[in-house]
Amino acid sequence: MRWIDRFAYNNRIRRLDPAVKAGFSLIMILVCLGFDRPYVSAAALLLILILSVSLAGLPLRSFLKILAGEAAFLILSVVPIAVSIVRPSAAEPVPVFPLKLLITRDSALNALNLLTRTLACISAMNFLSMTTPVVDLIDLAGRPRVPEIMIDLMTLIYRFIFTLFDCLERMTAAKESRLGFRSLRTAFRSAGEIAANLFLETYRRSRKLQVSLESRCWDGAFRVIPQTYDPIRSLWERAPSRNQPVQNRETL
Amino acid sequence: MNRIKSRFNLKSFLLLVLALLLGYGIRPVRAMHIMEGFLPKGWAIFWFAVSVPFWIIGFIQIRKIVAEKPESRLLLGFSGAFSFVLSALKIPSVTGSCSHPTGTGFGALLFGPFPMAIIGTIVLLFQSLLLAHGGLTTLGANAFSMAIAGPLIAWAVWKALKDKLPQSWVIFLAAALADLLTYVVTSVQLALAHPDPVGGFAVSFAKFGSIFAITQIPLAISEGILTVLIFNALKKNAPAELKSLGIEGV
Repeated sequence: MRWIDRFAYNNRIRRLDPAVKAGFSLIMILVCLGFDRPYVSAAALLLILILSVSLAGLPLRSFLKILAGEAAFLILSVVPIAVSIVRPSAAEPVPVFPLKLLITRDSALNALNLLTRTLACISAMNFLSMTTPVVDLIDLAGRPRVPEIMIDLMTLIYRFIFTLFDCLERMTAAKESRLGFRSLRTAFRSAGEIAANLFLETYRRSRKLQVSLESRCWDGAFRVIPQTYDPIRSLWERAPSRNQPVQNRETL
Repeated sequence: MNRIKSRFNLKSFLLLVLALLLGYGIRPVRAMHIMEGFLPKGWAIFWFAVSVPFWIIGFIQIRKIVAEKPESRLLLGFSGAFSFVLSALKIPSVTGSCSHPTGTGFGALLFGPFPMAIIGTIVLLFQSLLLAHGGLTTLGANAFSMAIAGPLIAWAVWKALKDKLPQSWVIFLAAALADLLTYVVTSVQLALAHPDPVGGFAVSFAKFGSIFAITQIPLAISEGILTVLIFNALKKNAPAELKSLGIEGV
């Protein structure tokens, strides 16, 4: 998880307007779903790969590694589409196995189409998530006036994910160092205790944060200064991007 | 010879089978998140349309909760993060599985199932962005199976059986059934979108269903047990906190 997040904050088009990046990914996904042809999807996949390596400067290895992880699950779900199960007709001799597995030309083509389409769409999503930090996407969501509560909830959840994740890691390490996951029985108990403590920690932290916010006259909303982004023309004008430290969701 | 025999007795064999089943349950669990691009456009739109009413009710309820108690904003945010992080919890031999029902189930007990539909959807959105599980166009379908159907059944089981069965059983059933329902709904979604060319929906459902059954049925059981353990630990360590959160009868 931190891997993807780290790329999101450190890539060459980090400062580019998130609307451009999200728009590109969405258009790619819609094109793949709309045309629904394997060669269109393959072309889209290639374009995304080229852009993410040459434009965003993502290492090809990492990009492919994340994609390969997803492709493994994808193949698992594509196989049942290629293979159909039929009951053999009465005229045939009784087989050993009462059901017949069948791959037709159509079903194989169908599965292949689905495979390329999903791969292209996944890589479009990966392009977005590896070039755009979630804070920028939340900023983007605020532009068409998504209700303030939703924006606040997204900001809070994103922030707390990392604090709680830290907490979970430390508790798991503590349990492991005391052989908490040695057998199935102790592992169940440890997992239960960790989850319960994580829940309590969650509750206590939310109380503490509430107290600290209220002591600063919090009225129930989180306001941050919107980020400034590079416009799309910065891609070909090659102007040095300004890296101003701004108070925003990143530093909340 | 005798020593080998005594090592391979029936009990350890059964434990081994169970461990293998649970261990196998690790990875394809991710398949429960329908990937970006896996649903054709028609079905993607359809599942968004199905989820929208739940989101609207959830949004109205969240607005009411937040208006009454501004601090519940923080608690809502934290419970969303909790259900996200819980998916990284090391469940016995099921490392890195996704325990949505546990996380969202807790939230459903706190705030009711509808606000959890919103929180769960945000969590799913973040999972698609941070973990590359799930996607944008499939968000409607994923939200329906994991953030709507699961919490709803967990909440309904809790409400219906709370006073009729021993508490541990109710919690076990709520968590396990939420997990199983999620699995059935996902299989239905996949079968509807990709019916078998010969046998149609039914055969396709059987195919997807049986593939996921290998991983999801052991997972549902282990998650049910885990949720009971979590509740017991909470009851033992933090009765005051549970009370102030308003989970009655715990």
